[in-house]
Amino acid sequence: MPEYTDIELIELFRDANRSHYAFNLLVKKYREKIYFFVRRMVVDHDDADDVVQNIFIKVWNNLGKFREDSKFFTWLYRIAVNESLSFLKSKQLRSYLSLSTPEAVMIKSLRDDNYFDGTEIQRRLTEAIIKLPKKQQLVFNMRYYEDLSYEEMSEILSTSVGALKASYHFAVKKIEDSVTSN
Amino acid sequence: MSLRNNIPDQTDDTENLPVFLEALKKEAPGFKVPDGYFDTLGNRIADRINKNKGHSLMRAIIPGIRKPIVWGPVLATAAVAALLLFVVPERRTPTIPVADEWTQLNMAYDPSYATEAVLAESHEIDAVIEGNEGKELNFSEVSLNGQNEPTAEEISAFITAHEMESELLNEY
Repeated sequence: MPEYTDIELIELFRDANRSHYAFNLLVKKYREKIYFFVRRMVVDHDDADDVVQNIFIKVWNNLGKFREDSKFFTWLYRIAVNESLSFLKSKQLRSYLSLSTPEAVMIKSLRDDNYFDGTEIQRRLTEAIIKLPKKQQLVFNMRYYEDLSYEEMSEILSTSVGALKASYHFAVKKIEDSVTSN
Repeated sequence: MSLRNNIPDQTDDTENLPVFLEALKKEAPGFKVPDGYFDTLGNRIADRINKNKGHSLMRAIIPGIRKPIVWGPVLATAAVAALLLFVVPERRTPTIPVADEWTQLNMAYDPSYATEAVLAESHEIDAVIEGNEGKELNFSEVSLNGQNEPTAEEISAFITAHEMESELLNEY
C-alpha cells in the first residue's frame, strides 16, 4: 500500500473514480486512533463502534467540502469530539428515566466489560476519568493518551491554550485524588 | 487568578504528573476489541454509506420526506377521510317521508300509497304556510276505532270536518 499524505488522499478522494479507494485508505490510517479516542470517552465497545462508524460516515459526506485551511487530522478529531459528546448527551437524556447517573452506568459497564483487560490501577484510572466533567475528560485524554500539543487541542476544541492547560491541570489533580482515595 | 499562575507550562506536564500516571503511560491501554474488528470496520462503514445513499435517493425523489412535519397534516386528513368513508355508518337510502305509522303500514301493502302520503304531507305544509291554523291535517286521526283502514265514510267525514278540497283526496 503506497504511503499517501492526508492532502494527497483528499486530492484522490475528489477524483470520483478513486474516492472509494482514498476513503478506505483514510479509514485504515485513522481507524485505531479514532476508535480508542472514542472508546475512552464512551467506554462501551458497542457504543464506540456506533460512534466511530458515524464519524467516518460524516467524513465521507463532508470531505468534498473540506477546506484545507486546517489539517485533516484536526478536522477529523473535531468530528470525533462532536460525535462523542452528542452520544454522551443523548445517553444522559436517556438516563433521566433511570435511577442511575450516566457515570454510574459507564463504571458498571466497565466492570462488566469483556473487552477490558486492564490492571486494577488502570481500571481505577479509567473510572476516575469517567467521573471528570466532559471538557476535562476530553483535554486529559487528548494530552495524556494522544500526546496532542495544546496548540492542536486548541484548534480542535476552539479553546485557548491557557484554558486547556488549566483544564488539564485540574483533571490531573482530580484523578490523583480519586485514585489515591480508593 | 492565583490558580492560573500555578498551572504548569506544557513542557512541565510530564514532570508534574503523579508517579502512577507516569508509570501507566508506558503500559498498553486496558481496552480491547473483538478479533478482526478493525479489519471489518471499513466494510461495515461502506455498507452503512450505501444504505444511506438509498435513503438520500428516496429523499431526492420525494423532497417532502425530508420534513416529517409536512406529513402530519397529510396523514391527519387521510385519517379523517378514512373515518368518514369506512367508520361512520352508511347513509340510508333516501326514504319517502311519511306522515305517521298508519301511512307506513299502508305503504307496506301498496307502495303507490307513498306518493299519496308525500303529497298529503306537502299539502299539510302548504296549509300551515297559508295560515290555515286550526285546520291542521292530521292523517293519524283517520285511523278510527282501531281499524286497519278507514272507511269511505270516515274519510269523507274527516274531509268535511277539515273543509278540505284537494284533488288528491277527491281521487282517494
